[in-house]
Formats: sequence, structure tokens, C-alpha cells
Amino acid sequence: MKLVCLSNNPSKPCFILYFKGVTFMLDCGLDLSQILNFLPLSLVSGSKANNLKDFLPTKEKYGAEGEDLINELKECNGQTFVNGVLEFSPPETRIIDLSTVDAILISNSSCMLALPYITEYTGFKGLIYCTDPTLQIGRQYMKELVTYVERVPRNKACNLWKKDEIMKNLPSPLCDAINPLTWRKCYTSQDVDSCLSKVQVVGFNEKKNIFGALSTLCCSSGYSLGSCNWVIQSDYEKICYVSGSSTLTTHPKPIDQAPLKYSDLLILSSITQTPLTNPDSMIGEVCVNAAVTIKNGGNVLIPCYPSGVTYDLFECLSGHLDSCGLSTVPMYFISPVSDSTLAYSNIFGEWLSSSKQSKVYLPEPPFPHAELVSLGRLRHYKNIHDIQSDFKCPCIVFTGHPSLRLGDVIHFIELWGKSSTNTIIFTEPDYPYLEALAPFQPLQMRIFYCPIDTSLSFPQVNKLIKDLKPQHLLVHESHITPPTSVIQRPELVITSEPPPLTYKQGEVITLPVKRKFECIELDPSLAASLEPMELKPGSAISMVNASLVVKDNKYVLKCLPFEYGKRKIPGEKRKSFIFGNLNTKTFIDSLNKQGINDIKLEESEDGSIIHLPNDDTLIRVEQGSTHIMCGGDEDVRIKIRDTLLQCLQKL
Amino acid sequence: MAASTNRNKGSNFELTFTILKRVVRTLMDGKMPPDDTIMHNFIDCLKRNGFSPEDVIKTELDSFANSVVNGYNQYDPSIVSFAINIQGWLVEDPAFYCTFSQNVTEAFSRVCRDTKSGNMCETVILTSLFDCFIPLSKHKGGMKWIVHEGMVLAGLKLLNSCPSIFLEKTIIDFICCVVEQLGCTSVECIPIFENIQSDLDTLVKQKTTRPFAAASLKLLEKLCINKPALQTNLLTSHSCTINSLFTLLFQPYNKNSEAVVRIIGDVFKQWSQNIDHIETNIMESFISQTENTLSDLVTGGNIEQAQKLAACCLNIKPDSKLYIKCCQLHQEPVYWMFGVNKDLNLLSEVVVRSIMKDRSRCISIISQALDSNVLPVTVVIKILRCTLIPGEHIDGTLTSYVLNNTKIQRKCLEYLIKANNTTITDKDGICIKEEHTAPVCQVLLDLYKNDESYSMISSLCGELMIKHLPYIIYDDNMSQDLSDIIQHHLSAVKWEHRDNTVELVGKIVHTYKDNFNMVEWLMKCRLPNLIWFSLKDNESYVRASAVASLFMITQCSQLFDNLKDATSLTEDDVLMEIINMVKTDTEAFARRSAMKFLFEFFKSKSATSERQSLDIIPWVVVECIALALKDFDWEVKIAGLKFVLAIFTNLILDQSLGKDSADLHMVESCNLDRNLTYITNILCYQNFYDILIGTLDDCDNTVCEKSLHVFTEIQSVLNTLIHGFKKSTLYVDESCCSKLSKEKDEPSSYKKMKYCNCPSRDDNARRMNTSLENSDRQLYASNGSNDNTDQYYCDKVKDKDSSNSNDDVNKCSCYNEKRMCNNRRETYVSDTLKKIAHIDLTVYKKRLNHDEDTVTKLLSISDDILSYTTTLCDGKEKISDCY
Repeated sequence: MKLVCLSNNPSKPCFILYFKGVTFMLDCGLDLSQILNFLPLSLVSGSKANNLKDFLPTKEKYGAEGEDLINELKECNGQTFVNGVLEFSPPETRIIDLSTVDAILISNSSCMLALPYITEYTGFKGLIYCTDPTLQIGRQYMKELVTYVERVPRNKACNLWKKDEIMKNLPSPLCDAINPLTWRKCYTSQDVDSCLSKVQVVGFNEKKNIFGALSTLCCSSGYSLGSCNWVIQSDYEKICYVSGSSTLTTHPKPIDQAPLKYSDLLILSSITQTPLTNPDSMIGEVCVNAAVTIKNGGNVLIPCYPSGVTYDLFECLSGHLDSCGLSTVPMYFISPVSDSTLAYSNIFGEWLSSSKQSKVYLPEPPFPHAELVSLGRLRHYKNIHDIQSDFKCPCIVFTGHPSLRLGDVIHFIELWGKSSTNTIIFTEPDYPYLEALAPFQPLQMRIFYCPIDTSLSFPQVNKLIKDLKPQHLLVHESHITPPTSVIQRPELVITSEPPPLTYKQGEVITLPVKRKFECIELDPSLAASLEPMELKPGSAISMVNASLVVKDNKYVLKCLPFEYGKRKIPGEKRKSFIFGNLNTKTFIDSLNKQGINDIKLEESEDGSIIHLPNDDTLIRVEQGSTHIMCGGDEDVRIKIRDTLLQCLQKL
Repeated sequence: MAASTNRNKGSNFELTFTILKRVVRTLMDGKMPPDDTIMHNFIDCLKRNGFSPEDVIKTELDSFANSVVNGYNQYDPSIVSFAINIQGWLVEDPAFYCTFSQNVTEAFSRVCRDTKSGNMCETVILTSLFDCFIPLSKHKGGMKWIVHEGMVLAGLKLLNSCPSIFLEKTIIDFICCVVEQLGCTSVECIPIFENIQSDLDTLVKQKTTRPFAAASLKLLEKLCINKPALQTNLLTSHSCTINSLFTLLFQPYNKNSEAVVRIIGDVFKQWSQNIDHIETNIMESFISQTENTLSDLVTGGNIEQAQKLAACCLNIKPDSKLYIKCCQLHQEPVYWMFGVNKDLNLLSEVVVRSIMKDRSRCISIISQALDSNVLPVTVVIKILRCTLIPGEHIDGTLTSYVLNNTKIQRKCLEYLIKANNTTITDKDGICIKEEHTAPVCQVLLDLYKNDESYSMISSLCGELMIKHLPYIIYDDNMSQDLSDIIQHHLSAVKWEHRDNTVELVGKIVHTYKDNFNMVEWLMKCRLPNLIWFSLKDNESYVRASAVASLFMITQCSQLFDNLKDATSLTEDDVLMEIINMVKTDTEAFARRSAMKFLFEFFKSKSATSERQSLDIIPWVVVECIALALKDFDWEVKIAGLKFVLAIFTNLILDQSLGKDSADLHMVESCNLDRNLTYITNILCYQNFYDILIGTLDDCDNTVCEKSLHVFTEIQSVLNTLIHGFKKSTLYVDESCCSKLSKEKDEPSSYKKMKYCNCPSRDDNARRMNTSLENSDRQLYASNGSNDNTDQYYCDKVKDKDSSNSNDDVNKCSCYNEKRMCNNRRETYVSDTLKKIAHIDLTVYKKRLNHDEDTVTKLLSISDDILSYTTTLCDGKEKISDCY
């Protein structure tokens, strides 16, 4: 049993698990953090990003070939950016043959963005399982990404800077890029459709049989709509995969811990990226900062994903604005998929928290954003061009992409960045906000970093582990030491007994789960032919002569073919099996009957010693063995042996 | 006097006797209402009724009480208790005492005998009995009888094993009364002190203590507190008692030691106030004993107890040895904990280390030290800082104890507030000196910044910050920080933070409205604008505070102008917002605050107005007052009535007329005309008069009282006016009409308010026209026309159109109609004024002063008592039917 970690980012996991002959891919996250090395895809040609000065390479440093870097790199405030088509870093798949992957299990919509790279550009021909909301919202995430990229076509691929001899001399952070040669262009809309058409949806607690060898079951993880954790089970082993999970009370269905208990191995990924902040207080901070900005006549820009925490932000922010008497302030949600994500959120009633579910039965929309939309307080647009005359300031704009490298957010930063009355509030923890803002500097607008990460925090993880009681735990290597910024906080690590095993990208881990048993079925006709003997109440044994048939990873004992069953080899003696404990009293009586007298019995801690002085024989009866030490008279020995066999049960 | 008054009540009083007899007989039959509150009300009512001894005999109350007390074991304890209470009443008044004391004491004999022998242990009866002894002991004969019966000793005996706190309190009160009457040195009081001493000896030996103080300590405390004579006696003649008290301090801290500390503390307090009442050598011995106890407690590691004792000794002279030791006791543990570099010689390191192991002990010691006000300001700042960020050179365990500790933060802030208010510098470190200001301000800002802090902390923080605001705004960084924090808090998620901050801004404006720099800073922070936003807050408390703060802003012309500029609003808009709040806000708290705003706003406006005239109050405000008078909330009504009262009294009498009617002739008739017109028009405005008079019958007594006051004043004003300027009153409309031509060109500053269907403020004549229109409308309605405003105006428009299109004949007809209308209006106004002037307020006064007269109330209670008992229920007439 082995596990391979393909992702470098523990929040965008991708694993390969080999278990009982089945190869699973667990999640398929796409790490987008490297797009911060690229210049933003600005909608306007005359934007600041398009007018940056060229990177001036020196011949001594980069060689003759390096002179062409001027076409690839641009400089802004001392930082260098790639001025080419955006590239993403899919999971490291070179170390495995993807055509051997039998199934992909997806936990939530933010852990599936690399799926088209796997399904469309490799020999993958397995199954993909995820919940319906994960599929639909994942589709929206992919479509948004594709639309943002396709909307601003940039065809120039930049590969020169990736050459080792050039890259090592480039300024940071380009020189630190990991395997840039493996970076890929964004997939297409067709890829998305083709990829997602292969997905099979499952419900919570619905068991799926994987080639008869294993069964999988997904249970709610409480992180986002339809998010789940996976339980992969054989008859005697249980492996749990806990991905993005949350014990907080937000909109999704709460985490279901029961199926995850008492596993042989618990694989843990996607825990909080912001261990020092509390999501509740961060939401409060967002609300307060937004209200202060609005009261001062400024506009608020919130770079966000089209789903997830964004729903909670709509709810909390509108409530807080009401509290502060700012209920007339409009909120704009601009995303190519804004209408569909808002619509989907309201139709997945059974995947929501109980309070929201109960609204569905009233019937009322589960999320308040439905009412906000009907009141005109929340207005959603597919893109910035759709906003006509009804754009009112001051306002709050939710738009993507949180990396600030693509999407309508770029336009708003350029529009509002010059005024200190405006504010940008970062809520997504996936990107370092200062790096994200780097190509836009200098900025006058106020900047607040309020990362809202509802994933499990370290104390929550440690509590969860105590509750789940796994035999072995597997975590990312970065989670067993405190974050570098707060070394003096020893509580910010995952602890367990025994100490957790760790994984990192590219590492193949042999899992400490040994398979000892396998379940075998008895064919009914074979079962009917058996004559079991009762050993003790409830337990019986029988001798079986049958053939083992293995098909679809199922083991079945069937009757031997007729000719084998009836065929008798001449001279062959039917072998019998003795079992049971020797009753010494019965044995002595039987010996007496055989004419052996003067028997002395001595009981000891280990068993009994029967002494036959007349025959110069000593019989030692112990648990599981009987020794007959005979003086040399073979007849006596045989008589004793036969008497002994008579006193034991025989099969 | 009272009795004779009652006699005049005739048949009602006779009926009372009859009914009371029936009550007495019912109770004699052993029938008692299940709820004894009614019986207490009954006794209270009897006491207030002004019965004479003869009346009591007539009602057979005395014989009832005597026979019940005599045969107490045959009755329910509650009936006996009631009977004893009756007897207590019968011996309270000297006149009653002469008549009834003999019978009362005779009746008590058996109960007292049984009490002494322990045969009577019914708590209810005993409580009533000792309660009854208190008035009895105030008579010389009564006291003699009590002493003779040995009831003091019986009380002390009961006190030692008292089963009820009510009985315990009653006995303590009784014994204190006895000591007060007889003097603490009297022979009769010796057993009291002996008993206390023996009880204290027992307490000293006890290993476990009860969760409340021992009765003997409570008695001693009550005897000693604020009684220098008794304290002197205690110190001079009862040294053993003093020793026992000090010994009790070595027991684990409990309610007993709390009582002891209070007693010792009071001795020091009295001594510091009246230094001669105890001989010096005796006091010196007491001080020395205190010092020794403190030393012993410290040696034993009981720092908390020592601090408690030390805290109560801080009243003595600051230069004394004991005072210095007490100060050290509070300071040294804190210096140890927070690494303050001072000479430390009182505590050993072992003691300090043992304290540091226990979180609650550490917090308790720091809190007591802060309460004592002997820590230097710098140390307090350090402690406060440690509650916010882990301090350097401070033990990690202590850091975890104090970090974010609200109790310590509160104590520090209270200390700093106290220190800030202190100007005396003789006690070193107590007052905030100039060099402390910067660190104090910085730590306050850091504390105030915390969103998670309790509202109480941020409130205290704000209070202290106001004092240091000039310093804070002088520093650019701190000024910007404070501005950001205030803005942040004004939009905080917790409404308590928003409310506190809005209040804080109001206080800042109020305190510094004349400080140019501060006003500039407030404007730079856009605080007036942000307060305006808070008017729309979802939480009513915040809205109410915002209204109050907005009023403060209106009182500073610079800030008000800034608000108007920033929001593009006019003064009318601001007023309309507040008026709308009175009209539409769902929460009474906000409406109340809005009404207060309007009242204060116009009060201040009239004070600064050059015109000295009432007509600065626009009609929309009058309409708003009318709404307030109809509000569901009594406090909003009161606010409305206050406004009405101000209009009719303060504004007219204080500014226009003067309080004495003789001064009327000194006032310009023009101004009087104007005001008179105004108030008559207010009263006649729509149904204002009806609403106002409705408040006299309000369901809330406070509103009725206020309304009565208002009407009394209005009548007084009207009578003065009618008698002094009868002509003006009668021809009020003509006087206004005559001014029409003069005043119609005056600029209107209330154009917007006109849209609210109201006349302008300055244009008196135009207002009068509107008033006439209203009057017309009422008349229009009374003539059977549809009372629909639209219809009314529709007709008016038609009239107007016809007058435009038709000839002069029509104009003439219209003019005649207007004349007729004016005449009708004149009659209406005149009638209303007459009505007000002739309201008989005595009925309302009577109802308020004597909601029910005592006889009626007594009868009512008697009815209740009888209806509870079964004898009267079947087929018999109810007493209420009799009267």
C-alpha cells in the first residue's frame, strides 16, 4: 500500500493511492500561486500593466541568448514579471502513469481545477467521483478561469526565462520558480465540458464499489457546498481521506465525523493556511472596514471566487451594512458565472446547513442573497461591460480573480487605486496579498488583509484526531513544525500518538497498513454439502474441499468439479484431523479398559503427567500437545496412541 | 387630627368598622388568605388610616390580637404573626401605648415564657415578636418590661442558632435598639458583649466556616459602625473581643474576616475623623496590634488577607509607620510580579513564588493593590500594557494570567481615572503627571483599539481618553490612530462598541466645542458626518446616542456647518430627520432621545435668538409634539409634555413676559401678540388640545402628574393673559391679519417644512392662514363634507380656478366666504381657550394625590381578605357592593 503526493501546495492536494490493487487519485487541485509571476491580463490596452518598462538583461549575466529576455520580462517597482500567456502548475504527473489510475475522488470544488489536464491530456480512462454541488460549482470555477483567460488573449508563450542557466540569475521570485517547464497553458472550455462529462456524481454516504475490491463512501466535510471527505474500505482495512473540512457553522452541511472513526490510516490535507487568524473575527473586520470606507464616501473592492465564503460575505456584509444604517449601499457581484453560482446555491437545499435547509421547506430561498438580488441591493453581472448606468458609488464590488492577475478586478484596481478613500479587502488566503498587488504599485487605495479560511485550524485538527482515533496519521511535512513566522507558538502543529507520518511532493510513502485477511464467499451448493461440528456454542468447523474462484476481485469457494470430487486415488487414506483438548480422566478410564493398570496422575500448572510404572511409560499432557515417552514396547505405545486418538474429537 | 378628618367621612367610616369587625371575626375563625402580602397591606393601610384608640376598640382589633396571641398555639402561625404585628402597631404611637400597653404585654407573657423555655420556635412568630419589641423598647415602660422578661437574653440565645436570616436581622435590630436606648455601658448590656465575646471564642476555634458571617459579628458590626462611643467602649473595656477579632483574620478568607475588616476599618476611619474620641495610648495599642497582625499574616504567606486589612488602615496619617507598611503590602507583591526595580524588604521570594503558582491569587493581589491607589502611575501603566501584549522581563506564567484580563484592565482604568481627577500631589505617584501623559495615551489607544474588549472597558477607556485628548491630537501618529479607531468602532460589529463610541464623540464635542484645535480635528476625522450615519443604525440605543451626540454637534456652529456642508443638508433637513424619528422610529428609546433633541435644540435656539419669540418653533415640530403626546411610551409622552410646558411657561414667562403678571405691562404688545397668537394656534392646531387633555387621563401616573403640571401652568398663563390683555386674546386673528401685509415679505427659512403641509416659521401670517385652513377643514368636515384632505384641496383648487376665471362678483363672494370662515375660526379659538381656562383640575389633582382614599383602600383590602376566605363566598353580598 503506497501513497504518492503530486502537489506542492497542501491546500491544493493531489495524491495517488495504491490500495489492494486499485490506483486512486485523491483530489486534483491546481496550484495557481505561480501566476503571480505574470503580468495581469488587463482589459484595457492602455493600462498601467501594459506600459511597464522592459527588463534590461545584461550580457554578462544572461549570455547572448539572454538578450531576448527583453521580450519576455517587464519590471515594476523593482520586481520582474513575465509578460506572456498565463501558465498554471498542474500536479506533478511525470512520476506516474495516469492511464493506470482507476478512479479519481474529488473532495470539493476548489480541489478539482487541474482535472482537465488529467482527463484530456493523458491516457486516463478511469472513473471520477464527486458530489453534484462539487461538480456544478467546480464547473463554474473552471468556466470563470477559462473565460478570464480567453477574454484577454495573450498568445506569446515565454519559455526563454525558464532555462536553468538564465533562471538562476533572474531576480526573485522568478529565480525561485519550481519546475516552470512543467507549467501549462490554461485548458479550454471544450476541455472543461469534456472532462466534466466523465464525472459520476455521488450522494453523501452513498457507497460505490471500485472493481469489487474496495468500496468508497463520501461524507460531508462542512467546508463548502457539497464538499466531502472520503472513506476507502476493504473488508478488513479502512483508509480515510480528510480534505478541506470545517467544524464552523457556515452555510454547508456540517461535517460528519462518524464514518471517519477508527480508520487504519487517516490522510489529512487542506488545513488552514492562516493559522493566526480567526475566520469569525476576520469576517467582522471585513464588515467594519467596508462600512468605514462607505461612510467615508469610498468604494470597496473584494477580490473573490464565485462561490464558497463569498456567499457568507454577502450575508454578513449586508447584515452589517443594515446595522450601520447603510442599507442603501449597492453590492455588485461581477463574474462570468455570477448568475449561475447564485442560482446553484439556492437549489442545493439538501447540501446546506439545517437552518438553511429549513428555509427551503417554508419555502424560502436558503441564502439571503436571493432577497438582496430581488431588492436590487445585490446586482450581479457577467462582466464589467454589462454594468450600464445603474452603477452607483459608493459601492461594494465582489469580483475575481483573487490573484489579481486576471478578471475584472484588474480594472477596478486601476480605476479606484488612485484614491485613498477606496479600499481593497483581501479575503482569500490562497495568495500573498502584497505579491498580488505588486504590479499595481504604487497604490493610494487602502489595503486590508482579512483572510477568511474556514478550513480546520490546528487546535481543531488535533481535536478531530482525538475524536477519530486513527491508527496512523499522514500529514503534510509543514504541519508538524510551527509556521516560520511564529516559532514560539508550539500549539500550531499537528500532534498525535503515534507521531504522524509526513508527505511532500514527489515522495512515495509506503503506508504502514498490512493486509492480513481476505473475505471469501462460499458457494451455496458447497455450503449445503458441509457438515460442521460445533466447537463451542456459536462456533462450528468443517472440512472443505473446494476450488477458489477469483473474479472481479471477489473470492468465491465453489464445489469441486464432479470428476475431482468423486475420483478416489487407490490406496489413498482419507485424512482425518483431530482437535479439541484431552480429558485426562476419560483418557485414564480408556487406558484402564485397554488393560493398562496402575496409572498415576500428577496435575501440574502446565498440564498433567500420567505415569504408567508397569509399562515404564510417561505421558505428558499439555495445552496443545501430548508427549508419550515409552520404554520401548511398541505395542504399548500403539495402544496408548490409539486410546489417545479415541479420546479426541475427529474431523 | 387624622381621626377627626376620618370621622367626617360619615357613613363610609362606619361601614369600615363593620367590615373590619367581619375581617377580625373571620381571622378569629382561623381563616387566613394564602398570600400574606395582603395582610401586610392591611396593616399598612390600618396605620395610615388615622384610627384613634377608641376606633381600634370599636373594630375589636385589640381584643382580636390579645386573644390570638394569648392562645397562640391554637392558631395558624401566620394569623399569630399578623396579631403580633397589630400589637406592634398598638404600642408604636405614644397615644396608643398608654391605652394598649397593659393588654399587649399581658398577652405577650405566655409567648415570651415559651420562647425562653424553647417551647416556641416558630420562626414567623418569633420574627414578628422581636419586630414588635423594637417599637415597644422605645417606651421606657416597654423597655423595662422587655428587660424584666429577659427577652434580650432570649434574643441572644436565639441569635446563636438562628434558623432564619429574617429572624436574625430582626433580633440584631432589636438588640441594637436596646443598646442604643440603654447605653453600651449599662448593666443590662453587659450580657450582650459577654455573649458576643463567647461566640467569637467559639468562632476562633472553629475549623470550618459558614458561607455567611456569624450573627455575633453582624451584631458587633452593626453596633460599632459609625458609632464612636461604642468603638471606644470596645477598645477600652473589651480587649478580649478585639484580640478575637484579630485572631479571626488568620482563618481562611471568608465572610467573617470581611466583617472583621469592616469593623477595624471603621475604627480607623472614625479615629482619623475624630482623633480625640479614643485615648492615644489605647489607639496606639490598637495600631500596634494591627501592625503585628499584618506582619504575622505576611510571614504566614497570607498576603491577600494582609492586603485586605491593610486597605482598611489606609485612612490613617500618611506618614505613620502603619500607613507605610500598608502601602508596602500593596506595592511589593506587584513590584515582584512585574519586575519593578525597587527595594523590596517585606516579602520573601518563597512567598512570592508560591503566589505566582496560583492564577486567582495573583489576580486578587494585583486587583487589591490597584484598589488601594498606592501604586505609582508608571507601574499601573506597565500592568495595563501587560494585559495587552506579553511584557518583557515578566514571568511567562504571569503573562498568561494577566493577558486580556478584563478585571485587571478595569481596575487599572479606574485607577487612572481616579489619578487623573486628583490634583493633590502630596501622595507620590497618585496623580498623573506630565511625563506620564504620553505612555498613558499610548496604552489607552492600544486598549481602545481592541475590538474584542468588553464595552465596559472601552467605555472607561473613552472616559479617560477625553481628558487626554488635547495631548493625543497634538501627536500626529496618535491622532491618526485615534481617528482610525473611532471610525472603526463607529462601524463595529458589536452594537455596544458603536454605542459607546457615538457617546464618546458626543462627550468630546460637548467638552471641547470651544477648543479650536479639537474642533478642527473632529472635522478632519469627519466625525460629525459619521454621527449622522449613526442616526440610521439598526440598534435603537445607537440611534438614541447618535441623536444626543448630534445635538452636541448642533451646539457647535463650526461642526454643525461642517456636517451640513459634508452632507449637503440644511438645518431643516436635520430637524426633519429627527422629527421623522419621533414619528416613525420603532423603538421608544430612540423616539425619547429625538424628542429630547427637539426640546433642547429649540431651547438653545430660543436662548440665542434675538427675536425672543415663540415662533421659532415650526409647525412640524408642534405636530411632532402632538405625536409624542400620543406615543405608547410614557417617557416619550413626558418629553412631549416637557416641551409643551417649556413653550407655555419658560419661553413666554421667562423671555417675553416675565413671571409676575404685573410685569405684563412692561412687555411690548407686538411681541405678546405674536406669542399669544402662537400659543392659541398651537392649542387649536388640528386636535392638539384634545391630545393634550387626553394626557390627563393617561394610564401612567407619571404622565398624568406631568400633564396636570402642564395644565396648571397653561391655565396660569392664560388667566394672566386673559385678564391682562383681554382684547388681544379675543381679537387674536385680527391682530395677525393686520400683520399679514407687514410680514409677508420676510424670507422663509423653512421652505422645506412647507412641503409637510405646514406653515413657515417666520411668516406668522402665512402660518395663521394655514391654521385657518385647518380650522376651515375641520369646519368643512363638521358640516358633513367628506373629511378627506384631497377632497378639501380639490374644492379649494376649484374655488381658486373659479375665482381666476370668473368676474369680480365671484371674487367678492369668495372674500365673503373667507370672512365667514374667519369668524367661525375666531369662535373656535375663543371657545378652546375658554375651555382650557375653565378645566377643573382639582378632580385630576385629587385622583393623583389620593389614588384611592385610605378608607376605600382599606375596604378594598378587607374585601380581598374576605373573598379569600370561604365563609363569605357563598350567597353573601360582596363588600364592594356595599360601597
